[in-house]
Amino acid sequence: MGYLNNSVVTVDAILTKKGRELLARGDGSFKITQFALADDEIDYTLYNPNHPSGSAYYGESIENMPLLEAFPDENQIMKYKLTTLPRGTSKLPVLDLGFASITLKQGASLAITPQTLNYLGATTSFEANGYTATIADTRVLSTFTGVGVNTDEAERLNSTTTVGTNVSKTVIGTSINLTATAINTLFGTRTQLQTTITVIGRDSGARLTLPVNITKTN
Amino acid sequence: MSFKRFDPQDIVISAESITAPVWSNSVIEQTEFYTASAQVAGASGAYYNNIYQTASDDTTAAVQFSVAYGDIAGSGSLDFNVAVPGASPSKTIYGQYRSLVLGDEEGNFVFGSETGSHFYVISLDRARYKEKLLPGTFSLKLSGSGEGVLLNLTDNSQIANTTNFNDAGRVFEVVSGSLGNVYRS
Repeated sequence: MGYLNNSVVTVDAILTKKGRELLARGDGSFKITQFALADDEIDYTLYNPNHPSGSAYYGESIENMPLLEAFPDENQIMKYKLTTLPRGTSKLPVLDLGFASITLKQGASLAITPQTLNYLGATTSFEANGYTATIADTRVLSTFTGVGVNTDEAERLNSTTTVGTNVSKTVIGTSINLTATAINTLFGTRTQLQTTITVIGRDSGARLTLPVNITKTN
Repeated sequence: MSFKRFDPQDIVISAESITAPVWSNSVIEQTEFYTASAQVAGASGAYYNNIYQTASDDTTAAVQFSVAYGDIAGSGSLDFNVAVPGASPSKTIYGQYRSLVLGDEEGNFVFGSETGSHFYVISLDRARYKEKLLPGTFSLKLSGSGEGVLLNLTDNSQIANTTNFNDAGRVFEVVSGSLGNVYRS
């Protein structure tokens, strides 16, 4: 994306692909009811509390930074949302999937049950509204579903199918089921397929991305 | 009656992909590039330069893309404050793209097998980019100072058996070649 002119205050608002999809339905699905704030582009290592000119200059490098235009892909923008946590929170909530990475043999299945650590005073908890999970390349899985959340939104997402192209897929659930593809064609001369899965707590906003490796066995 | 009500059979739903050249006026290959001296000399010019398809004061001028330079140590641009060496626009650009692409303020960019401490960024204007770029259509020709010296670059999507992903989504490498055809000998 190009840069926004940061010499003036600019609000750059666009519809994402998802927003256009909802608008195109023409059935009232497109209804803006909430907003969020995010700081994806900010590198906080640039904050300098030792600046010799004083506290007014601690954030000099960050505050002068030009920002990019909004992205039309909802998976690529506002990944790091600002969240509201109880006063006195000393640790940010983080997700624990029980894996540092996921490796599956062709055709093998796995159920992931995410937990949230350090949320609302609990050491570990399961979020009431569940988790969203996005597989970056849906071709590497033959099934990818979420279970345990029965809202319309969750059911609509979970029933979405793709046409075998290299696109992401998002599901909602308290547990995520995935099965590795058994198709050999995708591997070419390689013995592994690689992609990522991103899980986000729908209440806490905590986010975790793990690599996914599918190993060829046939 | 002048108007006829829409019936279901009057509506055609198509899944056909719509593609178009990136550049203004549907130009397939952009060969002329112009900067705007006011932008280059202004505050934003320390971070990036906007590139136009025609003289920037032309009524049809539109930003095609921006070029920025990022350096982990802040080299290549003037420090914000001489008392804080290394804190400069190029360091800010490096941190900005590190956060966007890697999602990790401690991460390092790895190009092929090399860890990079600096890079140039070409950011397409959203009006040009639209929704996404088709893999295998990217071609960049860089001329050097020597006569006839030309570096041809493209993406490696046509030879990559698997697609790599990072925090920015699907990524390809820029390699020697043209229009998706990778030069391998």
